[in-house]
Amino acid sequence: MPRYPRLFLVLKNWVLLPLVVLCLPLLVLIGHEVYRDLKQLRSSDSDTVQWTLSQVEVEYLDFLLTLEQNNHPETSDLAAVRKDFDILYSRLGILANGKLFEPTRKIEGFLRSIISLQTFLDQTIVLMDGPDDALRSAIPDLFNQSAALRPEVRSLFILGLSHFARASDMQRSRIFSTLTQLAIVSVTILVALGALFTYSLLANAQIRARGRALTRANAHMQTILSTTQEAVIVADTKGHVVDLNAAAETTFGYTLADAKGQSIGDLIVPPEQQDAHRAGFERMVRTGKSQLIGTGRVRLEACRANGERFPVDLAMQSARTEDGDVIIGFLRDISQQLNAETELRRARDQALAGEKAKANFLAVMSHEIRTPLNGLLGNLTLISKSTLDAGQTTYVQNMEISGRQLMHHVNSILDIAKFESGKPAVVQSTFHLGHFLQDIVDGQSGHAGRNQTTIEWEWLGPGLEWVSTDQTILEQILLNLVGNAIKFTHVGHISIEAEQITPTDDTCNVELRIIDSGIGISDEDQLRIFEDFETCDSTYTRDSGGTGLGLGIVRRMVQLLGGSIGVESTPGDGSVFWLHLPLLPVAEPLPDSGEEKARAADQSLSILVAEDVETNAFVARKLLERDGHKVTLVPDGLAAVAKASTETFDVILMDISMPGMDGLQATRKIRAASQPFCDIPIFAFSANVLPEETTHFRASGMDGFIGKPLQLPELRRALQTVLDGSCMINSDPRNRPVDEEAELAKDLLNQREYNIFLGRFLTEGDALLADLESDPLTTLGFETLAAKCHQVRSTASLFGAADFAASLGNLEVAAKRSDTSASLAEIADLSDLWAKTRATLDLKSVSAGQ
Amino acid sequence: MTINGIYSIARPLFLAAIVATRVTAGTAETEAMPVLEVTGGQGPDQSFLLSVQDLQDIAVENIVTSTIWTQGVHEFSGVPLYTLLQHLDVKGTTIQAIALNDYAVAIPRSDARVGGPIVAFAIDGQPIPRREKGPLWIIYPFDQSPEFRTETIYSRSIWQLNRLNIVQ
Repeated sequence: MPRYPRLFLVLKNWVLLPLVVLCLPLLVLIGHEVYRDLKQLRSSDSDTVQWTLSQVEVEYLDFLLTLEQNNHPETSDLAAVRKDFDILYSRLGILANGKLFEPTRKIEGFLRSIISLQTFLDQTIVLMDGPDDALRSAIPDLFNQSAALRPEVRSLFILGLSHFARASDMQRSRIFSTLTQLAIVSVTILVALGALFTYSLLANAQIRARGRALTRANAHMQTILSTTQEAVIVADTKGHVVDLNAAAETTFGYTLADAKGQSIGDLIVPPEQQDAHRAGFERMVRTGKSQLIGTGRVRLEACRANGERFPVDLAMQSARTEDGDVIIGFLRDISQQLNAETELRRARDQALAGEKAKANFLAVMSHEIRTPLNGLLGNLTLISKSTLDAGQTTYVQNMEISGRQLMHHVNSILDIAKFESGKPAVVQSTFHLGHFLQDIVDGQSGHAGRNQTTIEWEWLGPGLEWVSTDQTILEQILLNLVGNAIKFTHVGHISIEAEQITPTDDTCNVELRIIDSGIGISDEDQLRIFEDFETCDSTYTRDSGGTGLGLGIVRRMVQLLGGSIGVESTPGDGSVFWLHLPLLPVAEPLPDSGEEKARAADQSLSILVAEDVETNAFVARKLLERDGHKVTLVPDGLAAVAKASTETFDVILMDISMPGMDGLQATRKIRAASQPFCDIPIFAFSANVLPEETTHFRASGMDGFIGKPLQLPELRRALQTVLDGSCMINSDPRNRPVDEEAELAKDLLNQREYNIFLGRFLTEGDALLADLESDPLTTLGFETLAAKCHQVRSTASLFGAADFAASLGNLEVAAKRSDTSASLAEIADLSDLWAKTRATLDLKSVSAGQ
Repeated sequence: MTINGIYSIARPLFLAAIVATRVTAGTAETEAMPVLEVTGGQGPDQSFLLSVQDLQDIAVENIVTSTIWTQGVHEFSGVPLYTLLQHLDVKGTTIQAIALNDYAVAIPRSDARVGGPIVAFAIDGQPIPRREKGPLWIIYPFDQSPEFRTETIYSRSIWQLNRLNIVQ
């Protein structure tokens, strides 16, 4: 049955039960019929007929015999004749009139025989009732007549008998069919009842199985509830506790007996929240809704029996039971969890603070070390330019070498800090690869010579000339690798091989190999030398010196350029460091660009230098003055602002950390000043070179950055940008009428189109401003004004006139709202903005026209 | 159905002769003629000869019923068998009833009770002639109950009765 429960149900409801219901009245009907038949059998009147029929013949024969015996007149016993006549007459009367023979009399032959017999008897009555003599003399004749009737009597018997036999057969067959029907109906009912009985047995078994399953499930549930760590509280809709599990007892400190029937609010809700709890519970019962039921877990405070309070996680569900609705609360003591979370958060905060401290430390250290070093090296440069004897020159050179080495180490650490705090930007530059490699070889051959090592470079296969990549980074990479090769090669040979890779490896098209015949690197070491702070064996490290950062930085820089690096080495035979780099071949640039910029400017600039450390200031002034510039020194930010607001300089070099007002504040002040003092290029001048710091500088309005210690090429390059006007003044964007970065027109249009559209924009702007001058709100009306603003605004955006466009947008909005005061305010601003915008764009228009 | 036909032939013949000779005589005379001989019940040789008048004097009860041997419903008048046997003060368990044609049937004494059969001597107020199953006819109240419409009762409903033999 479990497999076909539906089938069984359908059978039971639609076949078996109706069958029984239909069969029962049928059974009653048939039973009634059977009873009737049986009753008929019991009171049967038919069996006597055979007797009567046979008796007719017997009594007829008696009568005939009596007649024959009394045939002689002298011996005739008339009484016997009369008696037998009467007996026969009586018997025939039954056949002729009896109810029993009514159906039989319908048979033609039977009736005919009765009539002929009756006729004979009736005729004979006269003789029988007559005088004895007449009867006596008539006996022979009577005998003959009676004997002649014998066939009639016989036929009576036979016909009657066959009729009654047939009737009996019919009755039997009727009873048989009735009994058969009864049997069929009974069997059907029996079968149906049997099936129902089976069904009820199965259903009963199933119900019992279900009951057992339910008991089991209940037991499981009980086990779960009693062993779970989660406190489970069941309450009725009045908020009275119905049940608690073991965990709830231990969590809250009440036994079930204590808590049963008590208000849940009094038990576990902290006193000051009980009112809110009660109100919430009443609302929930009244509306059937709760914010808590079925909405997941919420965090609450609960109270133990001893008054201790602790945080819990609560989830609620309502359920319907026979005793009415109940509310089930699942509560978890989360004090430990919360403690752990707090611990974790504290640990994370500490770690973050540590990281920040490390970064700060690096930045500060770089500043603190590089600033005095800067002074030292600057003064050394100055000393070397003075007249010295041979010994002094050597000492100065040695000092300089040491100083530069120290600077190199500091820079290495700073490089790591730079990489750690974010990817430095790659600045693409164009240079001649052959010249570049030759410069490297030239620059390093001196060092190599000291180790009696020769160094050279060559192209294998066809070479490349002008390429584009970040030259500075590539230079650092090669200097590092060549420097290493020199360190580890004594009396040997170093060669730099360049070869084009065909086909290109990913995007890399050039392989550079730095091959030395030095001591080589063991296999294990090869695996880790590109990691930070890894050096080869310690004795060697001590011998050659190094922070262990070199190759780690190299690896990072190679990746930054989009290339890869690797090493192959045999200890004792030498090493090959290979680089795969994307060096895009480019056309030869015009001769006056590129590295030529690093030359001393041929034009004298007036420069304001704000620097608090005297040595640094001194060095800066000397270097700048040597290049022919006019230098004004100020010791702090405040002085710088004062100076810059009274005198116009070509450029300002601003130290960042200064007492009183620092460089950033000073820059903001200067940028906020009036024309022409606000537009002067300002370069940060700092040992703090972390990327986020330089971004910071730009944000405060500075235009560039020159690292400390002051390097002449860097300084010259920066000044060159000022001279050729490529330095964009990073003044406050509000003061920039045209934002070139936002100028779409430049990208979209060619020069001729640009000029045409620019002319059109200027005309439109002039026309709009002319309209605005003469009371536009009355002459134009808000709607036309808004439309005009909208039209000019889109063109303004095209040419990057962001401020002007924004102001037009404001006016458009104000006009659409019919806001008179706001509109007038914008109109007042617009004329000034347009003047500024037009001045800038006019310049472009002129230059475009050239 | 038990037929005890071994009786001396003389007595029935004699009785029959008496009955036959009186048929033609007047009614009163006919009623005085002995029509029923009751034997047994008290002593081996004791017997009663009873006429219709004798029977009428004991008690008369009417039964209105149909029979399987006649057409329609008739009123039968006669002396209840129960009263008759009580009147004669005979003892016995079985009544052997015998007809003119020597048909004999055993009627258990238990049949002879109040509401039971009568020994009818009149139909619809008229004496029953011998030619019409008379002069005596044991009639059960057939229409009254199905228990009287059984084969056994029909067989006990003997006509042309002339003898009752009470057997211990």
